[in-house]
Amino acid sequence: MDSAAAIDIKNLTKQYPVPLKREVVNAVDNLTLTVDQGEIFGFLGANGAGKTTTIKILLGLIYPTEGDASVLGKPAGDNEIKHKISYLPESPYFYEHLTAPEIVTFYAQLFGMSTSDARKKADELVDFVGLGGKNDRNKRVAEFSKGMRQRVGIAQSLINDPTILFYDEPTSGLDAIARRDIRDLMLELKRRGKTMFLSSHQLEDVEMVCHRVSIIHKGKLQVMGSVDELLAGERVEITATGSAAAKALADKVPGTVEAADRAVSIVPAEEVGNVLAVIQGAGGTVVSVIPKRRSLEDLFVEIVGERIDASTGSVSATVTTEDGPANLKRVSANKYKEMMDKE
Amino acid sequence: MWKEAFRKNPKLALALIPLIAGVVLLQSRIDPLRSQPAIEPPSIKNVLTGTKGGQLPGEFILGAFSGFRQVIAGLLWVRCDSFFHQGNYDAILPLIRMITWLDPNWMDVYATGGWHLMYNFTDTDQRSDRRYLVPGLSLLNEGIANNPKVYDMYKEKGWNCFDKVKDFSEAAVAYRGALANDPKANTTQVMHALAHSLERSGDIDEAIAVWGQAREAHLKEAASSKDNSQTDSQGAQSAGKNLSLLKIRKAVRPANMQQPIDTQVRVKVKRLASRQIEISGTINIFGTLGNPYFDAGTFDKTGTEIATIGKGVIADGPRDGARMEFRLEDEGYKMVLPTNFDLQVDPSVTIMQDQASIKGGRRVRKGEPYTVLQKNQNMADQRITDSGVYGFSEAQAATLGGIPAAQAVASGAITALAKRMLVNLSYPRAYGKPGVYSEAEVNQFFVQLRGDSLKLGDLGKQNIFIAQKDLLVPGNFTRKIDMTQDPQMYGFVKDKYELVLWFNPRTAPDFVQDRMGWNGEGITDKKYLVETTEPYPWIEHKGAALKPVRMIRVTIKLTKEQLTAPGEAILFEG
Amino acid sequence: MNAINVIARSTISEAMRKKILNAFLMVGFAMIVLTFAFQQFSARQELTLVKGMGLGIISLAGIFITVILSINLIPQEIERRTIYTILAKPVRRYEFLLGKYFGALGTIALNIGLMGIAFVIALAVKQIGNPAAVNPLLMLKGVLMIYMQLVLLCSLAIFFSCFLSPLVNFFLTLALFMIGNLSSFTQDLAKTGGNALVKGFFTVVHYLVPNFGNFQFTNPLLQPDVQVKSEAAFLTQNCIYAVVYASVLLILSVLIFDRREV
Repeated sequence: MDSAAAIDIKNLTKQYPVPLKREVVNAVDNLTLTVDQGEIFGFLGANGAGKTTTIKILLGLIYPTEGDASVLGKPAGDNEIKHKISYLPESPYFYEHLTAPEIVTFYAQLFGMSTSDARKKADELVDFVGLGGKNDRNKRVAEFSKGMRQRVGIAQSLINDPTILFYDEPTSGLDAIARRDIRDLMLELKRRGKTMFLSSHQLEDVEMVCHRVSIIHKGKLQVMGSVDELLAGERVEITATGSAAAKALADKVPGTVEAADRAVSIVPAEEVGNVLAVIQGAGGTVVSVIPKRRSLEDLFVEIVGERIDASTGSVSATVTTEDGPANLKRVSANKYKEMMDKE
Repeated sequence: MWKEAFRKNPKLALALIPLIAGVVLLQSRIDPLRSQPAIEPPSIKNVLTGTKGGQLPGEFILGAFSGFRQVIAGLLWVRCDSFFHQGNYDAILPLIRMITWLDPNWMDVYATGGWHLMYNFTDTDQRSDRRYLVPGLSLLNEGIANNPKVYDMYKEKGWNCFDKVKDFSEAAVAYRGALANDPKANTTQVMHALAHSLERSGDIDEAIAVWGQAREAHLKEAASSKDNSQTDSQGAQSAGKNLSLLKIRKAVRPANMQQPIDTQVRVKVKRLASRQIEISGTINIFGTLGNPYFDAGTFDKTGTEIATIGKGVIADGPRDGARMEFRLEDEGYKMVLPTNFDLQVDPSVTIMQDQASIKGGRRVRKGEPYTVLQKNQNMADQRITDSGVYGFSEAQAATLGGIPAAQAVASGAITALAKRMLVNLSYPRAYGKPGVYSEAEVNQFFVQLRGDSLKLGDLGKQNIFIAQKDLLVPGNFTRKIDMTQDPQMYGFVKDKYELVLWFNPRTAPDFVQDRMGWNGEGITDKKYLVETTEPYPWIEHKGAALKPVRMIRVTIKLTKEQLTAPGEAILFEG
Repeated sequence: MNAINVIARSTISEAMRKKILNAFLMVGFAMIVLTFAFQQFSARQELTLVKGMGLGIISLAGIFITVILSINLIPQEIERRTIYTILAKPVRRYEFLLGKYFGALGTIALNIGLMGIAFVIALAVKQIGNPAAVNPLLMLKGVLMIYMQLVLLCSLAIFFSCFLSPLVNFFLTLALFMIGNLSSFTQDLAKTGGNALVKGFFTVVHYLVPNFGNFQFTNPLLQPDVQVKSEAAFLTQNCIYAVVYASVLLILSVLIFDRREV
């Protein structure tokens, strides 16, 4: 197992019939990818791109139309493997009549823990995700905010100290603080060497957390590589001083911002030589030549040709302010670290 | 999806084969058990397939077939009850039909249904519509067929045959069915009733045997059960008493019935208006004069041993309490019980059955006491009547030439029976004390009476005289029958009718039978005495032939015209 | 087994909080008490009514509780997505299905049991001083038969719920319940139906459609005078029938649920 890839997907296709029509739609279309152990793998795409379908296939919740998917060397859905993985669904739902500790106890028991062990574990995890306050402990999930549900979801995903975590949109719909907390937590999991299959449309999160990223669109894998590879400088920011040089740059190089005796040009890498020649020709001084990293957002727009809405996850919508409950307590990544170290 | 499901788990899929075989096997074993009437009666299908006799609303049918038979039956029964309280009998019948189909083991429903049919369909004068006896009996027969091992339905049928149909032999058959089929049959309800039925069908020896068995059964039950021991010891006592009386009567009647009573029946049928008739007439019905004149002798109260049997009737005379019965029906009507029946009746059939009490008969013979009634008095005082002394009106008394009782007592110019009568009147036996005064006691009291000025004074105050002539006034009966109020009951569709009037000694009170016999041996009549094995021609007896009975039966042929024409007319006199 | 146990218990605790199921339970209790309203009848008739109504109410409330519970049990897990996190844990699909199933049976047993106890107590009180009194515990035979019928009904509804929507399932289950109650008709038609085709059809229907009519044991309880032939065999065979038939449905459910996409 140890030598096996954490996740291995080969030519995976999942078709769904279109209701009332004799057609099928490809939710996942000939997808091939491999995730190594210890890797945080970002699975990026708009809503409906096929991210959740892929995760469900990997968990054995649904079955592929064609192709293979294996987790830790075993076929997807294998019961043995389930001891080593965990899953946080998008907007997780739980039995509404239970409290957070009861829910986590229930899931812990599914791992075969005795009731008392399960309760102990639940108490730790509920504390860890910041729901350990007396008020929150006794609340039923029915009264929980979205952020609180997400925390319960994270708590249940950590019961078995999993080797691979499948997180589906863990930060979607959360406010900025909650997002940062969860991001911190994911970074801590990364530090601990966990493998994570992180599906998201929150480009910023993926960019910060992931080793490797793929973009999926309409079921097809568009691009895959390390974050550095994908976003590495194809553009360069050149700053020059000297009024003549500034003027020359402003005249000759598009994308130049000129201010008195100073100008900043952002140009494609292959143009760097030409720009430097222009500066030198005008007697100016090159202050800096900085490779300008693209954001994932830029990349996404380049590939898909559409912009992704950070809050709704749908494409081509205008970006709105992030909403979500503001009263979330902070998740302490350090606390998790302490807890894991203690074991 | 299915193909793949089976392919992925072939072993599990194969396990289905023996399990399904098991299901089929189990079902084939459950079927015969479930089909028994006690669990799922076949008649429930009638609710769906044969709605003859009524219709059930759709939701009820649905409920009935979803395992809520009893709930539906219960709801309908509650509904029946409310209809009953509203007097809406017509609405009850279809419901009864449905309930007995849904729950054929609910015996209260047959019993109540039978009761409604046989008693509660009445006209304004409370004459029950005899056309309903057919469905009523059919319903009870169905109850028996559906519950053959329980005595209740036999008992219900027995009672209805006995009390309503007056088919005593059929009643006895039903009660015997109860005994034969249900060892738990209630002794009082079944054996006592059987004995009465046998007595009335003229089978006295059997009746005596059954009273004996009933007494034994009571004693056995009283010994074995604590709860009902009191009921059973009372039952044993009652059976013993009946046994003794029957044995005594059997012994004494042949002598008592000597010199049959000539009933001298006279009948007059008058049309008052269309469909309104008046039946009247006179008849001599004699019986023993009462307890002080029936010498049962001394007998063991348990009925097992009879020490001495008395003489039976000491004195007789006209008695009130018997009934003249009439039935107007389509000529040749026979009550036929179809195997397939519904609760509706044939609108073309007309049957009217009614009765009138025979009363007012009185008699005095020379040397016997009588009393003179006051102007507004119909009857003598109870005490005088109880002692067997008749009261006459002043006009009647005028013909008797009576002398005051005290005077006659002093002179001794009275008969032996008159002595007893005066003694009974002046010194009545203590209440509840059985037996009669012996000759010696009568003479002793009579001597006492002679010297008892107070008692003699009482006789004077009571207008007691001693007759010097004989006088017999026959009993009379009269009944006006209005058949205009219920055109649905009395359709008068047919052209020819029979009006039958009868006096059947088997249905007469004991004190009448004591003189005129169980089977009418003590009756005679020049015109209307009938000796027959079919006292009621409209009843078809299927079982053993009845013992012949001598009865008074007057059969009058009438036409529709005679009955329905307007205005008064004498239809029959003779 | 552990997972089955955990899921079954969680199912019972959730189901017992469901307002709609509680409502049926309460209505059941209320109706049992209401049967006391039959005051105008003779002692024997009154008992017949109370017993018939009581068992009928338990059965009716039981049917609604069972159907509403069973048709939603699996679809609701999928619709609410609670099943995702459960199946991502080391829980096999058949364990999940059996857990839900036994949870449903436990819930039904609790509901029927509570109503049954209420009914027995009510009957015992009602019978005080009634000459036609019977041992009220005898009614538990009827309650047992109702329960076995509901076990079968629950299995059927859960089986359908593996591949049908709750609405379709509701009508199909109730329709089959009705057909299954017509055992005596199908038995007749299998024997006496017109041609061989009709006979064959009804033979298949009679032996393969779950015969809910088998479990009607109310009559002998209402009419204690009626003698039942081989009562013990009848009751035992019915219990076995329910268990065997439920096993068939469960195996089919396991097979189909194993391939079900959630």
